[in-house]
Amino acid sequence: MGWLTAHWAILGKTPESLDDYGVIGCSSGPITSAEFGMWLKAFTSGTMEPKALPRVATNYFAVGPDKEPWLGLSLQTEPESQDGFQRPYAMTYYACVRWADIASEPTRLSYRALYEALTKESFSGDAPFELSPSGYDERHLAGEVHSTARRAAALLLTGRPVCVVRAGHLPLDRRLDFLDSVAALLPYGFRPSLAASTWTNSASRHRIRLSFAEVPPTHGVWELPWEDDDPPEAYPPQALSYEKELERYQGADLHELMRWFTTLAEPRDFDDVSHRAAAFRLLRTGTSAQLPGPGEQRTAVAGSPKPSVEQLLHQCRESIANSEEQRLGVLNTQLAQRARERVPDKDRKTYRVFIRANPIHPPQRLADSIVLQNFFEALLRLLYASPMHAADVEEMLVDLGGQRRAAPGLPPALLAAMSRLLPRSSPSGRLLIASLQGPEHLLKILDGMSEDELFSVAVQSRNRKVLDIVISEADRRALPTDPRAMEAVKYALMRHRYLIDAISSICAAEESVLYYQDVLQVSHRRQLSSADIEEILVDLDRPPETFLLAIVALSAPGTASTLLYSLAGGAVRRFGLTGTPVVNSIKAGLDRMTAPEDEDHGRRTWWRRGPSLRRLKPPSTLGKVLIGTSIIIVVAAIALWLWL
Amino acid sequence: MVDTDSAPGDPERDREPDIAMWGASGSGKTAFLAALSIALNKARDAGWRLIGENPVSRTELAKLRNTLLQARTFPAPTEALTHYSWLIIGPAAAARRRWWWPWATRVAKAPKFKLDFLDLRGDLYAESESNIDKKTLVDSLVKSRGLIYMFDPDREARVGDAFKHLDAALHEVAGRMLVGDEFEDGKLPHYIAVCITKYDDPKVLRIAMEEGFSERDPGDELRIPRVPEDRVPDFFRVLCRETHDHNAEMILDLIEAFFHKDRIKYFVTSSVGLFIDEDLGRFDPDDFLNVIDNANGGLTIRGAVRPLNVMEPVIWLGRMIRPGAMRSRRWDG
Repeated sequence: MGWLTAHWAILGKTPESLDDYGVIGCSSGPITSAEFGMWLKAFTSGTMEPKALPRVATNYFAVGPDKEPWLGLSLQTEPESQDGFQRPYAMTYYACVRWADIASEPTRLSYRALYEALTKESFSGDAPFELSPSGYDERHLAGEVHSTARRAAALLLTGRPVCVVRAGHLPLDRRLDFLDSVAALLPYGFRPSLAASTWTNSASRHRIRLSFAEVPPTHGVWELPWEDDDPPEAYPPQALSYEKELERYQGADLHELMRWFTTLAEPRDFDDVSHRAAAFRLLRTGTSAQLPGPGEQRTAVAGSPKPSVEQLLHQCRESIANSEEQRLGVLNTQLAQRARERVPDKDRKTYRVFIRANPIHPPQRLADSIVLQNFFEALLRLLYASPMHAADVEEMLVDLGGQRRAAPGLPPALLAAMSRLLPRSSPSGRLLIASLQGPEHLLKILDGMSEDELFSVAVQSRNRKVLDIVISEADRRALPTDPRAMEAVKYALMRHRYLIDAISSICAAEESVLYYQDVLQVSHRRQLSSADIEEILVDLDRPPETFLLAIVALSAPGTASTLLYSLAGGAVRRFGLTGTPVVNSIKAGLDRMTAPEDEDHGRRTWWRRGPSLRRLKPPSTLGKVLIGTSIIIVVAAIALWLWL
Repeated sequence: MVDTDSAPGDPERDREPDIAMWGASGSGKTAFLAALSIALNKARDAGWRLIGENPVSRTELAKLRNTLLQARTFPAPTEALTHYSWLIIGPAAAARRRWWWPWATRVAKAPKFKLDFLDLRGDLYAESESNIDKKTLVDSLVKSRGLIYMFDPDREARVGDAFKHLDAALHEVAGRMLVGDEFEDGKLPHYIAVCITKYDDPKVLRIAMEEGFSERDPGDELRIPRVPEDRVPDFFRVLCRETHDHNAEMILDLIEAFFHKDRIKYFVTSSVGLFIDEDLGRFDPDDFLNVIDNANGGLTIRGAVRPLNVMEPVIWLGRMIRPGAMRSRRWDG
């Protein structure tokens, strides 16, 4: 395996300190000390017990605006010293790597290799580690596989955690090998959702999915006694069949199977029923298509020339047209391999042109095919760089024919493949993919985003569709009945400059004004008062004229002077005139322009007006009363006269 | 990608604790729980027992007891939210004859009640609301019915963060519970046992004795000085004045502002109790230190473990939140 950049942290205490557990050292980079602390504490295995140390555990998390997935491994030990309350404490040494770095490597990373690489590091300074872990050793892992490992792998695919008991005699190395061998019996892509530990305390509410413990937790977990062949109660038939299928692979066949599993590195989630079901199907159908069955003669492909990507795409297209699922499965492996390699941007463009010229129309028979989903997933990885942004999704609609037809006309397998790519997409890409999948999916994504994330996506993506989604969502959130939500939206919009950067780069003048009006309506839900205008313009450097026009369009009566002052003040600041003599004359002019009419200047102006204008002055209240009374008297007199 | 709010696949996640432990790190929450079964066994009204309701809780109970009784030290700092389901069984009343069938006796029922305890690392109360464990904790507090609040005068004198922890967490719980119309009186519905811990600490005991808070029970052969129930709040105030943090004096006001006065009870507790020289057979004001330094720099329990006021808060909370289960003629609180 090549070099891997690993970020690290130490969670613990300094000797004789009265402080609580905290991060006492970490590398600088994309993960903050607070984030390290949060994720390490979130995946604790329970309160330290000296007999369970050293303990090794794996975890996973996502950070940054793109929710980039990471995998980590920790080693917990007990130092000689005590804390300030004279209690023993634990030190946790932790290193984590980007999932994208692991997934892009031609060979895979085992937990054991990461652990061994981590133990060589000094955990000092603030530079990330450059690890060189040993390669993925299927032969060693296959040697560790036994009935408990097969059963644990099968049970994990039920979605419930697995707790191995009666294994108190096992040393750390064997426990770690067990965790590795179980993970190796599942598609590699499950690792971003697999937290495993060589020891857990079952009384604690932990988030470990595969663990060893003295006694199993009371509820919701599969209890798996070490090397006990009796099947658990209510063993799901699907898990049983997975275990039986695994049993068929021994020796070299098992190496092949494990190697094949490492090629299935698309992120999968144990909490996703469809991903688990796909894993069951993969072992049943995938192996028959892509691997020689157990005991069958292996046909060497090493000597045959490597087909070009275009050739592969052509063959895939043919297989799809002829509904040859098995052949497509074999081709998928090769295509996925190519997609994992470094693909230059110009090659991606070439492949996109090829796909546009040779559109793929899957027959109805393959509508629900998992193999077809795998094909589209590999294809998307090949055509577009990771993470997918909104622009990539829009291009994809053109490349794969979705835009020429209505969006719902996209093949279901393509939609399913896109949803698998969701975690690896940028937030803007996620929004567009979710919008293609339907309103429910979109709402799910939007619900997980704060206002700041939402507006940040709009500003960064500069994509019209994303902008529309974001403004609609802001409109949905800023309900006039919920002042707190309204305030959150308003201030987030303020922090993101009312989306000016996004709108001005996407829209022409008239459209810009309309978009800004929408934004201002969402943020204020009323005509803009003087205070609103002041608040909007005070920190806004060089607002575009279209934005000012939108303010004018939405302003309440009597706000002209505020707008004028704000504009003039902004211009003075912008041109650096603050403190110069010219400011005084501008200020005097502003005061003159906005002075009420009963002041001197107003009176002088009034004096210059002609008598005809003076007659147009609205009558006073007394005058109104007199006029009204006269009208009533006249009407009454006419009525009396008519009656008489 | 990360299922942050729940243990994966656990269908019983909604089951919430009856009693949640509340207090800063190192205030003695886990030690209190460890001493609970010993306290029940040693109660004057003999026959009280604490048993684990399931294998996990039984194992943990055994570990906690062994820590105090065999290893003669204190539990390690709690690192994760830890759940104990324990069953407290009291002594059965004497068999009684029915007036309408006097030749047969009726077997009396033993009081029995199940309590789920939530133990946690103390700093969790002070963490931000975005912390995923904190969210779980606040959910549990909202759903629990009893609280044991541990105030550690020693920690308060050295660190002084009790008010900060209590204030932050109380406001979060109140924010969740009191914004609606369910609790119209504006108070939290929990019963709260406020425990001043580490009474065996010389600094605490000395204040109790010198300020005249402690009295000796003539019926107590060991002649251990105790703070009478009605004087505990005043003792609390005095201890707060001695602390590192001036805000500590507001702790009592804070508790009384958020909880019904009749649902608050104060206790002065010690998980391991005071050292009693077996030869002397009674409390010696010059030699009562039951926790001493060991050669490794840690702490060792010197003599017998005699918890003080450890079962009382739990039994009181049990009576309050499980009144039906506590009907026993022999237990009057």
